[in-house]
Amino acid sequence: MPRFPGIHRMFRSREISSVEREVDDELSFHFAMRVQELIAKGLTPEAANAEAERAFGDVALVRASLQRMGREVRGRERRAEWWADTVRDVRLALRGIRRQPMFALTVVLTLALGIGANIAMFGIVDRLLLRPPAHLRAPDLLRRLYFTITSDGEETTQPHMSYPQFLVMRESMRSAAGVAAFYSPELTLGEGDAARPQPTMLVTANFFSTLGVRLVLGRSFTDEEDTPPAGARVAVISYELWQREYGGERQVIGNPVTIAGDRYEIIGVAPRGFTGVDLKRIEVWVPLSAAASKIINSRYVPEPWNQAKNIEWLRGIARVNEPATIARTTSEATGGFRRALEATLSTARVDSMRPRAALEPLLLERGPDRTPTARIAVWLAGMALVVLLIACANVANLLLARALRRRREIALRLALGAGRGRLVAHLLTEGMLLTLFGGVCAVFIAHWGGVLVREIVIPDVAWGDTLVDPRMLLVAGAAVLLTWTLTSLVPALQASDIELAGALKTGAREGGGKRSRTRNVLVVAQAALSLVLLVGAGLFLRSLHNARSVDLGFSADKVLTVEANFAAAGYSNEESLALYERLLERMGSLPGVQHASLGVTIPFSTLLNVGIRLPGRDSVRLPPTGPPRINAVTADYFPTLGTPIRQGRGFTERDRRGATPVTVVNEMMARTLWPGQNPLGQCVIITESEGEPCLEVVGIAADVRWNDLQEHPAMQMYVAMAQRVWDSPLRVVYLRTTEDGTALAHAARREVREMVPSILFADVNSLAQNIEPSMRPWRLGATMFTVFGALALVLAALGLYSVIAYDVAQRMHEMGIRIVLGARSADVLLLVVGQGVRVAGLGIALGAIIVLFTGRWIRSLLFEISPRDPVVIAAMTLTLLLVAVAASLIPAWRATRVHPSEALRAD
Amino acid sequence: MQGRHDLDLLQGTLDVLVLKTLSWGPRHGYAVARWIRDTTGDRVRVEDGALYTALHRMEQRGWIESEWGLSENNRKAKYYQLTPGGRKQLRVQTTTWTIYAEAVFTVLRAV
Repeated sequence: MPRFPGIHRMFRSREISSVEREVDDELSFHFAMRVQELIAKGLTPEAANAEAERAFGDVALVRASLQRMGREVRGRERRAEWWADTVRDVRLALRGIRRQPMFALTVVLTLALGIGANIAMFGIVDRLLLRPPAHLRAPDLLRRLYFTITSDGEETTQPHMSYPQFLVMRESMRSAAGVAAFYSPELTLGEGDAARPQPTMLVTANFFSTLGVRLVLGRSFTDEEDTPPAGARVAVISYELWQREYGGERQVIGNPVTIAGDRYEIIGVAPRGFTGVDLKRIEVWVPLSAAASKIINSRYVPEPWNQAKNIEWLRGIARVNEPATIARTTSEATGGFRRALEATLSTARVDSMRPRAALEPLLLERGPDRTPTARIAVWLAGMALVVLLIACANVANLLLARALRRRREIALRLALGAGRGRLVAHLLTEGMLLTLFGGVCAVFIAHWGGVLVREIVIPDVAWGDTLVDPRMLLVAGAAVLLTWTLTSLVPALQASDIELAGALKTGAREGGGKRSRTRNVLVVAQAALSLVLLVGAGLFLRSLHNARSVDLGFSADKVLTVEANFAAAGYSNEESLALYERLLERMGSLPGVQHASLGVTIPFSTLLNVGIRLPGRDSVRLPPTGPPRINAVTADYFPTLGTPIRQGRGFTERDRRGATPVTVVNEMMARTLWPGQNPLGQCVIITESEGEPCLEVVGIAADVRWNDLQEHPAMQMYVAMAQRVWDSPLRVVYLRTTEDGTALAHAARREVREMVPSILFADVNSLAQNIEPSMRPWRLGATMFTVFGALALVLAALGLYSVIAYDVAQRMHEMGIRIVLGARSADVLLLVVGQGVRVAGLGIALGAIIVLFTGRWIRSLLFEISPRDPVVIAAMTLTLLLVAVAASLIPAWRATRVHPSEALRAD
Repeated sequence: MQGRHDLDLLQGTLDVLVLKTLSWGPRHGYAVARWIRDTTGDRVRVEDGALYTALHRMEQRGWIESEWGLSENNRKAKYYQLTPGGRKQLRVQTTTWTIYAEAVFTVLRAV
């Protein structure tokens, strides 16, 4: 038999009188009795009173202490009662859940998905935008250096500087507590077969002290170890590398580690999860001067790396003493930047560039280098909240429907004396239990969902090993609280606000008109929000599709690039070039290779610019995209990369040294330099050194997007490799393969190793792999919006279904009458489905308005598609309508199956 | 130090006396006071205030519980009665007190 919590309360009269009153009552009874007794013994009333008081002691003191104790007892009783009530509520709620497991499961799952999505997205936004990288002391005082110059009215801001520039900067920024520089290339780690390219960092000696990071073992670099041109070969390794390769042994200090073919001595171990100032995984840190000459001089410039002013490779990090000094340090930095520029340029030229340095936030995504990924992640976090709102609406809906079904039970309880407060508490407890279960499941969903999003969609961030950290749990708690309030309060208040007599008298099918309206409003809101999410999904899917099918000017599919650093293995420039020629020959004859060619730069990876002039012209007016990009290639280059030749010809074997020097330019370059003329037969001079020949234009190639999917076409020229001497001996082999290149990549690596056994590592990549990271923002958007959109759609369908099904159940009577009066199945079907479609339609209209008004906020995140794209909106509207029809069809079908006599008899 | 010790002893003694009084059934405070006075022939002098403090304190500790009722002369009075915990307390304290008293007697007779 159910217990009615309100009943025994009614008999408890104690609540009415206060503790103070009770003490006074007790004491006055005592005195009355005592005085009466004393009078009976023959005392006068006055004497009796005096005697009673004397025998009692200090009345005021005792009274006060009795009242204090009374209050304590009362407080304890209240708490005990509250606990007892709560325990009873929890038990009742658990019983209710057990009675309707499907209902509970639906609610818990709905909430778990909604809350889980929020936790997971918070984790991502937190990492990208909120939390500073791990292990830094006072990270808000650390700033990144950025440099801005203006040329041709256009400002460009970038973080890179040459080593001489860094020295000037460090000297100029006197008010800073420290200025450090770093460079993070991939270098070969290990030897022989175990050698792999790994992310490394070359840092100035003060890097660790500037960041304020404490190593877990050993020490960091001293100034003596970082002295140009060649510092000491010592290394700090990552905690992860220490655990993986050295088993976490303390004896690791002093062991050798091979980096880019050189042996370094391990002198320290970084703390766990330390990544420096970026969020990318780093395996080893070495002094800048220890590795710079090998990396910079063998690849890029001939002069000593610490004097090379024209290669900007370092990024700078500064620690200010306090936030107030940022402005001063910034102006010092600008002064330093000016001086660095003046070392190579005239003062007038420097003035015209309006150089400016800035101290930007430590988190990349909050500075000038922010990517669309973080902004999309913020949007997605917002969408996760929308999903949670939809989930809440759904659960509120379900709880409301349940409360309605229980109206008679509730009315009975009220009639039997249950307090409305207790009833609300009971319903709230039920909601809280369901939400809590949902929250717990959500943490697991966030955990697994987080893995998916982090590893697949944003893989280049070192997330750390705790997928759900305390901050995320805090957010989970907040989400649970919010959800609980949203889902339980309305049904609880509504359920307790019941007209007793009416509810008891009528059957279950009548009444509830007002609540039905509330539920319809919830479904309309769900449909509206779902449409917003679905349109978002559609827009990002189209963006991803557009990004994938963008005409790059070459076809990246089935192209492999092979990089082998022969110079690093000890070969001279001439020997290296001969080795590349041989490598090209051998690769070209591998089965499965259609075309092979040599080149210098790699799309979406490396880029070279050259200055040019035209004979008979004073200067060349450069487009905003800057001077032409250049690549030196061999005969089969254009077919290998799949860049179409629009006019003239590509290179042939005859374009060798001694023959007429030739060049192929792209359409943009031809258009810019020779507008309205035939570009073929014109000639261009590269101004890198004196006495360069004029290169005859023999072909026009299609424009390519070499560096970025969204870049504007830039001038691009190609020269024949044999006709041009290059400072750097580094080349790349491009291979066009007939099918998927995985097996071929193996073969290519083996060829290199066979040819030059002493080579450290041959880097074989597919071109598509290089381009892939550029797709990530849209992939992230498309994946997550689709997931959220699908979730929202399912939830909305469920919500609509439950409303319609409930409505039909309530109107069985009416349906029966309709059928008796001659309504056909189709009429009944139409009636019910029409209702569903009307509700959904209202939501869609509302959603469409939201889409139209919020679209401009995401315009910049999309790829070549309008946020109001009619096709997407129409398609998603249709999807939602179809789902609405499907959701209403089941209850509608049930309505047509009503047996008239049964429906009329019931209740 | 000395006085403090006496007071502790007195409090404990008062508690056990009150518990004993209530062991025959519910009584109000005045009845407890009167019974102690009558039984001891007024030799143990207890201030009525201290008695009520003891009653409330023991109620707080859960040894006794109270309820409002009507007295012999039809007045509203607060009745106290032992809880199971109070009954156990009475047993424990009676034993302790007896051992203590016997020990004291043994010492006194030995002279």
